[in-house]
Amino acid sequence: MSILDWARQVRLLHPNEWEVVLTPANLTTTVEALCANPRNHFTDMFGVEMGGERQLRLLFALDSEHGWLHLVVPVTGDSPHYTSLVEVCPATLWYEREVAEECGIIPSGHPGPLHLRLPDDWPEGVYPHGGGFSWQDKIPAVAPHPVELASAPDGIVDYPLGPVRSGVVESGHYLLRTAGEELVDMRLQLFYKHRGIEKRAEGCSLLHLPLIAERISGTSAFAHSLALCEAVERAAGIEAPPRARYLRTLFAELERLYNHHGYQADLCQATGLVVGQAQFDVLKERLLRLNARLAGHRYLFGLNVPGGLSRDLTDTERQVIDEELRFQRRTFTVLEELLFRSNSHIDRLERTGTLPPELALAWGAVGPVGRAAGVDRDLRRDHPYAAYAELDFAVPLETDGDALARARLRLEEVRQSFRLIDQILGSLPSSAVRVPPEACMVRPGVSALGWVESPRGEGVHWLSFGEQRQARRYRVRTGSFANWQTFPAAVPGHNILTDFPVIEQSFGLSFAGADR
Amino acid sequence: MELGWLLRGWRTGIVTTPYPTRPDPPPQGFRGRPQLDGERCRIDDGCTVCVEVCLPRALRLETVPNGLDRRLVLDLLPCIMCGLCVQACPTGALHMQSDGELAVRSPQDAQTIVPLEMEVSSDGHI
Ligand code: SF4
Ligand code: SF4
Repeated sequence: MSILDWARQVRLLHPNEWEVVLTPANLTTTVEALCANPRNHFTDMFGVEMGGERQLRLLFALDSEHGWLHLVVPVTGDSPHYTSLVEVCPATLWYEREVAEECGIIPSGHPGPLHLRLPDDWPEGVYPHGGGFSWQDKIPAVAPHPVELASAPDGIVDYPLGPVRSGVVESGHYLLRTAGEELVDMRLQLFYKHRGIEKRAEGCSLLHLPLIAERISGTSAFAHSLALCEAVERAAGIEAPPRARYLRTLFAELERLYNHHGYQADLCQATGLVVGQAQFDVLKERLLRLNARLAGHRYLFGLNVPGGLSRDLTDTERQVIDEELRFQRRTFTVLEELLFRSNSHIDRLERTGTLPPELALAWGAVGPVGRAAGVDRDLRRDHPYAAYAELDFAVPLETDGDALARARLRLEEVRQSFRLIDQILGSLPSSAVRVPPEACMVRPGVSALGWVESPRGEGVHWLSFGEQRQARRYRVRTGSFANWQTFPAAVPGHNILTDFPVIEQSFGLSFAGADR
Repeated sequence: MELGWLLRGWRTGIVTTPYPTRPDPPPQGFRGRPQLDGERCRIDDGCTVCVEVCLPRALRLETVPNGLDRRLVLDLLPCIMCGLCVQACPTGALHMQSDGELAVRSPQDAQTIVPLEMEVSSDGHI
């Protein structure tokens, strides 16, 4: 029996989006029941404070129903508690820490209830999403209270790496625990790039919200602004015009392409295949230049607006894309063949950084990282948005879960993106690309979900509006956030010098996207 | 190394551009930076449309150090080149330049200022 029949007070919010209100006491059994069905996936967990009332909210993707289920748990009191869900749903581990520090809703029995995103000198009892805190409030200065980790046992050496590193690597800190050259364990300290983006969105109008979403992670700017705009459109009960839906799909695939080329370039850099790196970077740069021509911005900022797109595609531009695509296809085929003939590259990826399929599923790995470990999910197919339901494409799947599987999967995804773009260029509907702004009007107090399969996995945005139709609460769960949680599992047993860079690049995660 | 890579690299040749020796202009329609034309600006008539749409407050009304006069400032340092002000300006005083060369020598060089002319009555009061 489906969860929707089973729960009695399920309310339909929008097409394919349901909500059920629970008490803290029956949360665990509900989550357990949901997790018992392998087609249901824990997606997000966050806290909300609205009108003085605090809520713990969980989001599940119901793949069989092509829908989403919100579990809403109103909580009361100064220090509200609920029973930690980590045992029934391991993927909630980081989320519970985030809810505790940002909303003051405490998970009893959590195995490691430390701060997650907030810095060491954040004062106790100040909650970014609780207690009426505003982003303009001054934060009182307190002495930093860093977490002291137990020192390494004899014969084991802790090797700190980051947060400042060479090149253009983003900020993140790894504490690599080694026995000789072998990695035995690692600890991850992310969130140096936490900018409070969700908080900054509060009070923003529809005009400004896309600007905020684009800045979550520059290399997924289009994906995130798309998810945001879809959320706004659902809240307003409208749909973008057909041409806008097709063009959004086109730009989303162009974004995937340049990201996947950049991914192969980085992986080549990790294995020392410098010519391969340069070749994939050439493909990537050509696409960035194409983006600049089509959108006025190399990373596609400023295109998505609530109700459609800020600009249309001319026939000449359509031809330019077509020509570039032919070049890309030709070159990509040659490069791919060369990659597989390069033993020095392939050998370094094989059986390196394996994320076992059962772990990937239990820990909620998404996107290419999940699909390379047998998690057969893709929001473009399972929860179609933009124009994906009308287009023909395959979702590649690998089951080895190692770096090679992740690299192969992305190569195949590139081919599918080529296919999609071809179809879009051949069947672009003619219509406006934007509904008039006055038609895109959200009701005060409404909330809605938007989602996207970004190049790094699923991004899910939840947006709730206030009385003046401004954003009241914005919540973003990025693919990188979900996947970073699984990353340390792939590291033990490998060589710190030769394997670690390969493992890191093979996951292809974004720091900024996870940190928000 | 697989010999094919060598061949491939050789066939590709040099693809980097000789910039800055030779110009490498961004394509038409590229959102480089906003430019403010004081002549066309109607701030004197009470227009503040651009100030209201600018999220990072790159466009703002400031009080001149003499404490009396006000002025409109476009400051490129906080500007995120979103172009919303250009779309909103009713007089065409703002436009987006496709120029990608944004470096300046001092923070003042990044500012465009339109003074606001105050009407002064015969007794000297504003
Ligand atoms: S919107 Fe245009 S006319 Fe109005 S103040 Fe700004 S620049 Fe001047
Ligand atoms: S381009 Fe955007 S950020 Fe810059 S001045 Fe105009 S509105 Fe402000």
